[in-house]
Amino acid sequence: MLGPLLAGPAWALPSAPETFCDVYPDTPLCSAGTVSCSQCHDLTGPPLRNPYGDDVARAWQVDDALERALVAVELLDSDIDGARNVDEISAGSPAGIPDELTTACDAQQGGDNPFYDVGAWDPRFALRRVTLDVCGRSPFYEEMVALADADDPRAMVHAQLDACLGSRHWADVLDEMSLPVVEPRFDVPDCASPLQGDDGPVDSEPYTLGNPAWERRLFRYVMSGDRDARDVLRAKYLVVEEPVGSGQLVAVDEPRDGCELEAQPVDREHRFGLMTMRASMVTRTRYRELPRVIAAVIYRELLGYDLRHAEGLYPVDELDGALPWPAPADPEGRGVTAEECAACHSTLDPAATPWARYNYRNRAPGWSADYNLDIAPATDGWLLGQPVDGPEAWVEVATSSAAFSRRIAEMFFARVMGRPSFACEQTQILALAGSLEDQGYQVERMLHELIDLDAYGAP
Amino acid sequence: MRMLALWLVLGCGGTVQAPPTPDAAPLEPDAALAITPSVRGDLRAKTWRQLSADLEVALDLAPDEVCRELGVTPCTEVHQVRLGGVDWTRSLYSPLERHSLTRAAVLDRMALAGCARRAALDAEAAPDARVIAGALDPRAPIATGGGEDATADAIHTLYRRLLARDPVDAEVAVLLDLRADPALVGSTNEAWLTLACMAVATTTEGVFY
Repeated sequence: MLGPLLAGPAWALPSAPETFCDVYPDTPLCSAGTVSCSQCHDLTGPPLRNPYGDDVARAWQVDDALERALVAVELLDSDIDGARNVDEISAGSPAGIPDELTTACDAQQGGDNPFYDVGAWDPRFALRRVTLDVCGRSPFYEEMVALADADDPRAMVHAQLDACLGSRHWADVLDEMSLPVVEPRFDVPDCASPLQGDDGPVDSEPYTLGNPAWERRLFRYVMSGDRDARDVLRAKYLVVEEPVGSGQLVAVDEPRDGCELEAQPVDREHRFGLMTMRASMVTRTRYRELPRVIAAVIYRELLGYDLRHAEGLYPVDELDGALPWPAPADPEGRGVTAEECAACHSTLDPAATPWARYNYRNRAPGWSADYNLDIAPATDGWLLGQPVDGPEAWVEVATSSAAFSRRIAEMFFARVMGRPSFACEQTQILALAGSLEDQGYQVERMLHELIDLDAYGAP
Repeated sequence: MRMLALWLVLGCGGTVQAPPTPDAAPLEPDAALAITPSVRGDLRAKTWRQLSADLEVALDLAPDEVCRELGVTPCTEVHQVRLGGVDWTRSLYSPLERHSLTRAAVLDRMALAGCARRAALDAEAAPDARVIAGALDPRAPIATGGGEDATADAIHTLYRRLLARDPVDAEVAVLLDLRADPALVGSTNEAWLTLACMAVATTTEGVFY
């Protein structure tokens, strides 16, 4: 209701997140270069505002520069949680949502505890966590005794990590972590696990909608061993389990039989990891020309930006000023140029266009140079504010981005901590992301950095 | 007294009674175990995989021996989502963000089932083959069949197997006192062993990390 009454400069177009980060470049909220619209808006999305957004809007009515409006409300406590807006922003906490700033990063005062070195990295605490997180069991009494006698307890904890990374439990954990990325919807017989008939195994014609087990194996493979995590989108190979049931994953450059060809239907030049495997292609988009769904899922799960919450908005005006707001071209005529739709689609559609040559529909997924020419004459698009001229550039921008490495770091941090990172831990997340980049995107090396964090090993 | 007060509030028409007041002062921390709270207080709850693995290893039970619902389906399969698991067949791709109300009941269920199973197996085993009872005879009447030392040794075994450490004196004393609990009057050491095992397995230390 307030929208029409606050016309003109109080319309915070999707460029506002960038403006916010220009004013507050050091806040953890902006560590990835942009901030979610939920900083000012209700979690249901614009135009509804939270209390902080209301205060900013009122200040903006007085002064038509958003930058000055943000500064004007710094000393208020918009969400009435006892912390000033500027303090919450500095701490990385949203100023419009009442919450209690965590004490998890505060210095420990006093530490009388006969069992643990409270407030400092404790090898006993860390060994227990590593063994449970990665091996899936508690340490044995004998292991704790050995730790107490060890010359270098920290080295013993790291050795335990190495030993546990090959465990069945960790393989299951990685498989579980793949689920939000792959979004399997059905279980089908695998080539190596055919249906059992009354007289034994029967030929299981590969299910035409694909078997998500292939994508799940690819995820496990690239996130383990000495593999490069960026292969989740770059891989030209497919991953099989050989011997069957062994848990041993092997990369195969080219499909060797009809079953593997079904799982990987695209020619080598046009393969890009999860984006172009059968189950992902067929179940993510199907009856839509522009593959928005798979682009949005990968944007969320591998780059950390959830467009449903107005995160990661990099609006592109494909209509060159034809409308007062940035708007996509809308080649399918679905009305996404409307202002309330364009807020997100001006980011999503340019990110989906590079994948327009892939047939994500029906029972014949694949790539063709003349597919969707009426919808997308060219495969030029935009990703993370950068122009891309096709899927290869798209994948390069995505996997080279700070967003990707940060997302991988956050993904594994959240997994072992059992919670998302706190605002006060963002510098540690960024350090992990940097470590991942510096070490060839090998997740297991990053995990060695992670277990050394106080957040992980300090009781 | 509290129940009487509640009855008065609910059962009598007309006069409204004052709400019951606490019967006793809040418990004070044991000075002998004085510890400084951590500013982090940031623990994780064990998931179904970790809980079942720990019980299997500590109690030397096969995976299908720890706990089965209706004697058929493993408890971890039935209660997987409640214990931090996922169910992608129902599009639950990530664990629940909050603990369910029934999580504690499931934990108790699994621990009690596993401990009872181990205590029963030890009762049938030769002394040198008992996993947690050791020299304590599970079939003997409670507080006999091995004596104080055997009972204390069993407590140490439980702590080493379930929590990977030795108990402090206060913890040993609590479990020794359990033998005198009215609920165990007339029972055998097997019953005490089951409950002592369950008590240790379901401590905060046993289910969080």
